[in-house]
Amino acid sequence: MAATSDSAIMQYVQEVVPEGLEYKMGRENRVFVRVKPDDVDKLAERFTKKLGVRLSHASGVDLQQFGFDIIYAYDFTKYKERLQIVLEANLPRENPTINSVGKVTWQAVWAEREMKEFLGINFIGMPDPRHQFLPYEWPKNPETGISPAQNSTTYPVEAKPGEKWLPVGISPKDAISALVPIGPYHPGVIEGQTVYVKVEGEHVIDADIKTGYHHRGIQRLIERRGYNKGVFVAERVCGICSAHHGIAFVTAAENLYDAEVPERALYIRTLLAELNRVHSHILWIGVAADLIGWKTGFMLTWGLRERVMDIIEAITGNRVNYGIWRLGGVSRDVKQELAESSKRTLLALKEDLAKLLPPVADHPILKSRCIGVGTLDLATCFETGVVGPVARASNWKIDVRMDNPPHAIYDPKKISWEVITDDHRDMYGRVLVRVKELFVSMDIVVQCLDYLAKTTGEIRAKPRTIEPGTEGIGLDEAPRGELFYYMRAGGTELPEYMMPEGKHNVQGSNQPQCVRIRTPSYRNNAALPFMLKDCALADVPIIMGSIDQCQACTDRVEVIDAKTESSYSLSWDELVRMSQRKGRA
Amino acid sequence: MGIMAKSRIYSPWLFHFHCGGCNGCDIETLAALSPRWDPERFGIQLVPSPRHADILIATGCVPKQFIPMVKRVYEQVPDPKVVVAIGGCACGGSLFYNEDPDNYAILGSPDLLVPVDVYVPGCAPKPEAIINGIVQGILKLAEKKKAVKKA
Amino acid sequence: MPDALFTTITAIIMIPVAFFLSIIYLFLLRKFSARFQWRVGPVISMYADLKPLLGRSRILQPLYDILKLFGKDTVVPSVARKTLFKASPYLALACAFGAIFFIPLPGVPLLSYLDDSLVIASYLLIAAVMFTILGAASSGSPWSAIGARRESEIFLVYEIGFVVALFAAAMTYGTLSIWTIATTSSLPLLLLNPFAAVLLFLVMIGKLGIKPLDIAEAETEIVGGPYTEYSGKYLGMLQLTKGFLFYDMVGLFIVLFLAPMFGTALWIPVYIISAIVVVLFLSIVHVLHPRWKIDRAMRSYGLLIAVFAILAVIMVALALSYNWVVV
Repeated sequence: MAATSDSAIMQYVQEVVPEGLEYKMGRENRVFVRVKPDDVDKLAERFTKKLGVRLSHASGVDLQQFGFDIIYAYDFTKYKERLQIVLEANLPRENPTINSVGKVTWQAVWAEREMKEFLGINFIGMPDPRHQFLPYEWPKNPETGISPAQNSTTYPVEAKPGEKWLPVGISPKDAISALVPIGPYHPGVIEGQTVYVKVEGEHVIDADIKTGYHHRGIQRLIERRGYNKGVFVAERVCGICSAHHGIAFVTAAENLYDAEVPERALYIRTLLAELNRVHSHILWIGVAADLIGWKTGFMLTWGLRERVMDIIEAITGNRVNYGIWRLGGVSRDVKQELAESSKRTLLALKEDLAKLLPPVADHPILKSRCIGVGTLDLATCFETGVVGPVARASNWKIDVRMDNPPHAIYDPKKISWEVITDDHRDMYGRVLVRVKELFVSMDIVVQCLDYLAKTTGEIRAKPRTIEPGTEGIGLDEAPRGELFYYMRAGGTELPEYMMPEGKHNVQGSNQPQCVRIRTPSYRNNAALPFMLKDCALADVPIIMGSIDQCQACTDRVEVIDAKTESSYSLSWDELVRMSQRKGRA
Repeated sequence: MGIMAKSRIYSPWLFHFHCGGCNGCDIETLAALSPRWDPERFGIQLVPSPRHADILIATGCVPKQFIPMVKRVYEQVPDPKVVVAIGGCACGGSLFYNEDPDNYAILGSPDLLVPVDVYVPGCAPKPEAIINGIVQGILKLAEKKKAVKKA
Repeated sequence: MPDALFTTITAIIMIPVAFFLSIIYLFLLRKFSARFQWRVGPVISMYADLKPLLGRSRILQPLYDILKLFGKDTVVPSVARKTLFKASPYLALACAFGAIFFIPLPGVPLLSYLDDSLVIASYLLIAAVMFTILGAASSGSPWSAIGARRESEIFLVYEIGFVVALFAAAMTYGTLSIWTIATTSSLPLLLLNPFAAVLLFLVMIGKLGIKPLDIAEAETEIVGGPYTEYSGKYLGMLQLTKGFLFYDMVGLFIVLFLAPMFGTALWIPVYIISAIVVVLFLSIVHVLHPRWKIDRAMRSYGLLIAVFAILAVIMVALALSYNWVVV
């Protein structure tokens, strides 16, 4: 698939990262560079500030007695086709310390908070040292007040004696105005999360987000269950964009070996990915309508959505988690009659949506609720690294399907489609982007169905062996934005006690050594406080809705080495009471 | 049957009680309220506050961080109340539940914390199954009040 | 003036009638909204196979909701100001309930023949909303507090329109007695002063929490606003208050603006039909609009109210100076 030769790519990488200790060429222009831990922040500065590339994800891998591998994946598609540079730095097990990348770019802040709390890595100069997924008060150690993972005393998270903990980024002293926790249970957001907004009357003056209630240890589960079973776990990261999680997982796993996926399987994958996007965007329009109090919009769109669900059910047999993704293909074919009948349903649906959505988008009250709400300019967009429709609504043309497609079908020669951008930079832009994308996706679906109705063929290639130690990256454009899977094949330099006697220290296995998932909501949620500042309280749910939050996505997990138990967390009512007290003071 | 007992069956109000999970069952629960099924025909309504609810629609496995909230929300619902567990995770932890080594982040199904009356298995159950589960919950609701009266 | 015995008897009969009508209005609002949203809504005639389990009809669905709430436990939050929290639903209900005796039906004047019945009715209707706000403010929940604040802000806007609309009618006919207004005019005020009618309709949207102005109880924003912390019988009472308010407002609209039908009880079917039409218009507004933001609502809704209030007053002045009203 790569257009440029490997050597040209390698030469370019050596130019960009002269500090590299070891260069490893992956498949499909993914380059893995081992660097010294001290160089990481210098490189980040050069990459993000000078070259203007995005940090896709930062994460850590626990290698037992070999210490920790910290990986930083940068997206270089701007310069070379499909180029992803992954920097890897090894840290010792004892006192792992590294310079913070978060102080260079906000994109790494959440990732670093995650690594700090789960792996116990100290980041020097970290801008935000609070817990990311664990409760702020965790753990309850009365003697030291410091978690086993947090052997640094630089940033104590415990309250001083006589001070009431106010778990927000706002100091208790200046919390004169009411502090309103939105969540964990709030009818505007189904899932558990807490967005603390500090309000003066109806005016939000500060906001902060606490996630982590959905931390389910999914990455660990996938690592345990291996490639073949792991795909089903991956699908259940999020029930709304399950198709994209499946595709990104199998793409990452196929990136580990020379996979030759049949074209028909790729078409079926594209078909389902786009159907998933159609249903997800319709769902979002309905939820957004409900968030601004428009039950009619919700009912109408969800009524239409059922027709998409019918098509999906006819093709896969399921409505939510499709379960048809396999390494090297898919498990179910789309027959000719099915393709034709689906096409008829879809075209009828398209007509109805074309009638319904434009007058909806022109509704004066809807416009008044959306225009100028939750603005995010391009600079903040880049700084926080938002992805997907949120970035595209701020006129940033990023789309994985165009920049770094998961497979060859998104080639404009095979399927005609376009990336939608909008320069409203606000809630209204996000509505327009999603509405237009909906129609683009439907066009793609129709083209895929045409192809599937005309041809027949294999849908699954034979599996091959995965070499230990290979690394791969799977990308896909989920409805909410870029979805990133990093995978490293298991068996590399396993510690001796885990090996059978007399065998070589390296052995392949059916389990990946690590899987790292970076979901789009992870990035978009990190940008939420920037959007929430200076809005009205009535706008908070719709701004939260505008990024199409998916906590189930966000709170997927980092590897954890200590066996943990969250011992204490504030309940809704306690928070309410606490905010009341602060409000009265 | 008196009119009070009847009205209890005729007007079940739901509170969407998300206990952590993948969102799949949540969107299916909302889909069950959409025009194709329209349970408002039978007076089934979604309410915003747990204090107004009769039936709790519990979805998802419970991550350990959710434990206090799950208990708290259950306590906030006035009696008589019924919990309907929707989906494989809410019935038994599903694939998130792992023994040996156990999943550090997951407690298991919500029935470890709150009494669950109706189980609707499936990943995710179809809206028809969810409505059926709610109907079973309504029948239990009618029985519950009788039991309270006798006691 | 009708005699006291007749008034007493009709007032006693009126209680179940008004209760039934308010249930029907709530049902119609739900049914019409559902039909506009491609849904069926509460079924009028239950499917044959479900009849034994689910009853014959759901026309009384709002009644079942209220009755069920009365049969449930009541939770009072520990942070609430308990006395006020518990008392205000009773007081709100009492006010909305009291107002039904000032809303005449065709041929049934009730207490509306009193000289100042219009003033008393308007005070009762204002007080019902006031007590809802009080109860919410005393509940100790931030959501209720915000809801109460929003309600009182929007209340200040629509009350001005309410008073102007009522007194437009009163000034046109030169009386403060609802029954005199209802029986003396030969021409409905709807034609004479359409602006006042539109004004009262706008007030109804605000007062009944119809969609662009359900800001106070915005479910997805502030959970349930004033109703967040209420449960069990208190919530039932508040629902009932809402039902009676609905009846009062619709009745007031008809009696003031579609007046000539009130001479005899034979007009009751026309009264019912016009009530259904008013509810239909309310539900059309309800389904067509998303919720307004409070600051926006204060501006736009306030402007609307102000414009129509001025127009209504001008129409009154014209009507009085050209003697359009034949009293």
